[in-house]
Amino acid sequence: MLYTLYQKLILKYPFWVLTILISSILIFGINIQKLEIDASAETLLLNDDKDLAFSRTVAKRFQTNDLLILAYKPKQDLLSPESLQTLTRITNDLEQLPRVESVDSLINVPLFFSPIREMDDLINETRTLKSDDINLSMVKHEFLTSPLYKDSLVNKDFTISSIIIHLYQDPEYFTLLEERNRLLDKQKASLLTKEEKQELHDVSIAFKAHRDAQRDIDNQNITAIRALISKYQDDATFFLGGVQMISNDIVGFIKNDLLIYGSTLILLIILVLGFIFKKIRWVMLPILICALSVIAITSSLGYFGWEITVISSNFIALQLIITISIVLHLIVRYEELLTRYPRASSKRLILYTVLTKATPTTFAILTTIAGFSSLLYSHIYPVINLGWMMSAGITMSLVIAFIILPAVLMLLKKTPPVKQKRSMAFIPSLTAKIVLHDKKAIYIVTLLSIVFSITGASQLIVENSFINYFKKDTEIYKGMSIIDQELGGTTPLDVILTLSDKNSTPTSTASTQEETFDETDSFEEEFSSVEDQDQYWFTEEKIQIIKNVHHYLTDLAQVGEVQSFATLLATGKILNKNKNLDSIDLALIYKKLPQKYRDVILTPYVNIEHDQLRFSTRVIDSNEVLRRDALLKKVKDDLTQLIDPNVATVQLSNLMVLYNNMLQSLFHSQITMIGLVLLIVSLMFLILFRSLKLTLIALTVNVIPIALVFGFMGWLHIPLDIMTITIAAIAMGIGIDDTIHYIHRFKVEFEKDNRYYFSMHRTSTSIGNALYFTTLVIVIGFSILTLSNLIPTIYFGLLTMVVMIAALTSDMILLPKLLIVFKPFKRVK
Amino acid sequence: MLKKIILLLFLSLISLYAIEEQNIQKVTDTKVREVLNILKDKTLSQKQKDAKNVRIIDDIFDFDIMSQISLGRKWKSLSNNEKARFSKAFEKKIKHSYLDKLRLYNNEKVIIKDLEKVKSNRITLETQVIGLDDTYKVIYLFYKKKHTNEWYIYDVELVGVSIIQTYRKQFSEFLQTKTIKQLIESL
Repeated sequence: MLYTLYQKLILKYPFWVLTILISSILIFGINIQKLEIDASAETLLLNDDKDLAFSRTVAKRFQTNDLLILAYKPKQDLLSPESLQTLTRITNDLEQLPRVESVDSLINVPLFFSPIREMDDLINETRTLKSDDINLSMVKHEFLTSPLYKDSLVNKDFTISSIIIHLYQDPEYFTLLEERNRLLDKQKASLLTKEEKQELHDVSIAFKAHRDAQRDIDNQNITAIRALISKYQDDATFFLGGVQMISNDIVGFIKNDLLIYGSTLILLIILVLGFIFKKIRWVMLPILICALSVIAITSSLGYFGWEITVISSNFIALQLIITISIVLHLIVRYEELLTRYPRASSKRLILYTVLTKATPTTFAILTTIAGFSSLLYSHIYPVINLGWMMSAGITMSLVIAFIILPAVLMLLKKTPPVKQKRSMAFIPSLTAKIVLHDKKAIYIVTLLSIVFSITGASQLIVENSFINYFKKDTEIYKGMSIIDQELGGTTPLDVILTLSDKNSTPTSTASTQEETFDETDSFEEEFSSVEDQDQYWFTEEKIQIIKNVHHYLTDLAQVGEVQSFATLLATGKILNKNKNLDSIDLALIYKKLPQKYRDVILTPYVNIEHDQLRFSTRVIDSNEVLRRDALLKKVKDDLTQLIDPNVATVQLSNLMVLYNNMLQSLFHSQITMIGLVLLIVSLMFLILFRSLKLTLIALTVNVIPIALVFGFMGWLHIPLDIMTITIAAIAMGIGIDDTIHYIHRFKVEFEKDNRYYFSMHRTSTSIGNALYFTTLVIVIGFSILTLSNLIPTIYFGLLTMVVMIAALTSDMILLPKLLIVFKPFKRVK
Repeated sequence: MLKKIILLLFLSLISLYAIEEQNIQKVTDTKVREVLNILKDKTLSQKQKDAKNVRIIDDIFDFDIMSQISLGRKWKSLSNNEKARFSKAFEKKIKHSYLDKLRLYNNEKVIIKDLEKVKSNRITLETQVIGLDDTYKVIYLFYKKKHTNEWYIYDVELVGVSIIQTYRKQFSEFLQTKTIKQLIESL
């Protein structure tokens, strides 16, 4: 069929085939402009995470706003007139921004202990640094010791203070999201009606449009804040941080990387191809095929509305690698045939090239797809998308390469074959020599690699530290590290206690006194009718629980700022001449407290209606001993021990939990899926090679480079995170290609003379060139990723280089050695 | 505000002798003034003030019924011995709280307002504590004891907060996980 297709279409009408294909891709290419990048926190969350729904409920119930933190480090003392003047001006300027709801800074936060006053005085008149007759040394003492402000509004040295920028909540976002999710859930459970389907379609479009618009506004907001900061750079140093900043900067870096690496990678590939082949066609053709493949896939992404995220940001680089690999195999094969049969017609050469490479290349692509398809089983959209993107992308590359290359060659004149310099071909022949002569060395190196991999892999950790995403000299790293270490931490973690509703008084037993029986019953009726009023909620039992939990969280080294109702209790104690507020005091305060104070000190921490308490903390992301999953488990376990389960249940919430769930899920699904992919690949090997022995050899040769990557990651303390965790799948996908090409060729060569030694030599020096060139181009191309500002991209580049070199070495040395030792091919008589 | 609210609490605990209905207002007024005078008396030590004030409240507050209400239905499941021990502990707690908060008194004015008969055996008496910036409402809740026809205070409401209800809720939660013995000990 393939023969007919090429004979009767592609090679017969190359010009028209090219024109139609290229113009279709270019016309469809207008969809590229619809391509979007989304690095928001939402993209990194599990689709079906129950904790996500819970976190959203918590955010709504406790009315927690998104915030940005601006660290302010003036040149003079924090409380000097100049510093306060700058702070006043910047606070006022920030308050004018449209997305900003309010700004808390030294200048406007209420002062409770400067000096200590009666509570009704406090409520009637809020004193701040702007008030008259302020005693600055008293104020400094308050900032450094107050449970409300110490270690979060100012650092211990009193040199840096934080300006908290509260952003407007976006209720529209949640309304649309909830509506969309409600319909999606319904769709999962049962069939939707026609109207509901339309509703789902409309709400999905409205949600996306709203989110995109909101994202632009958020970006503008951050740009405006940065512009504002730059106005005051002469007076002080500023560092901007916060969850929104992380996604904003990641988007910036991804855009930058896509632009710079996309173009530089192509430039490097041009240079390397020029160096290897010294023919313009072998430079232009791969570039043309790569460019068309990238346009085809990116415009498809734009057309289908798939967004590029942190995880899928390297897909262009990956796409280029795989496409180059396909094209190089074709070129090397063509050149090889041309050298062997210089007088053959161009058409025959091209036909023979594509026909002999079609099977191994298709299988190579299928195994690569199998590798990437492991990503489809994660529960995270961007990871699933990467799986689909790559599977679709490399299929497109395969089709495009197998049409463009033969069609273009048909239009070009046949040129003499490239004469390889000795220096260029020395690696394949060197490896052939090593295979034959260094038997012990191969086994020793293999054994050492296995030991290195196992010992390294045993040190692997699964962590996702956002601060470590950025290089130390980037603004975001500096900002996050200052806020992290000096001003209370960066990653939000909430502890939510839901109190048991079993608060009814036990039923009576027989009464002993006639008179009190009647009297008590009448009182019982009178009192039980009002016992659920809010002011009676603040019992000693609850106060004790709140204090215990707060104290426990404060004692954790990995946790920075902790805010809860206990902060208010501690402040109240100081105001109450160092005596604890009892439940009567609290009931009275609750009744008298104006709504504006309730919103600040009660609503974020206490929800009487749902009997819930919130402890808001920020985890110190840069803490090197921080093990997120272990910390979350410890907090949950310890608090479950600390609190009687009959009294309250403990739940953890907010981004720290959601990111961890995502990572753990990804880790577990990847471990399972790598096993499954190995099984699928084994089956494909069995189908392709029809030999169990050969399948086991091919698997061994591929498992070692993948294990080596984990070994390197373990020894170099590179954690498995949302980026690096996909390396195994990618490594497997790419690495296996070389094995298939090598074994396929070995089989062809073996059939010629049934001699392993000669077959190995011929295979290594022919197909070896293609493997070697491919690896060379990929490694040089990927080396550029190490210049990225995003650390995960750097690791991705480095680890891919390691995989490629390891895979090449394994395929060129270990594979032939195993083939010679185990002799899996049947002799052909 | 806190201090003033606390003041309301101690004023609420001012004792009245077991009284007849028609005398409730008058006796309340007298006893409030008596306590205020004691507090203002600079010749007395804190200990003496405490002792005198305790004597005033001892008879009119029905600590037994307060104990019963505070425990709710649980009261009936207690043995006589437990009831006695709990009442004693609760009375001590309320008095301690009263004396503790009495120390915060700062010359606020107290006005006795209207009396209202809610039911045949329930009367409420509203008073007002007037501070510099604000006025706070305090309601004394009286009940008529069967057989004797005398009136006793069984609760006080300060700005809408019932003191006994506060304890009731607290004890109810405490007893969810702990025993009455532990409650008595904690008091």
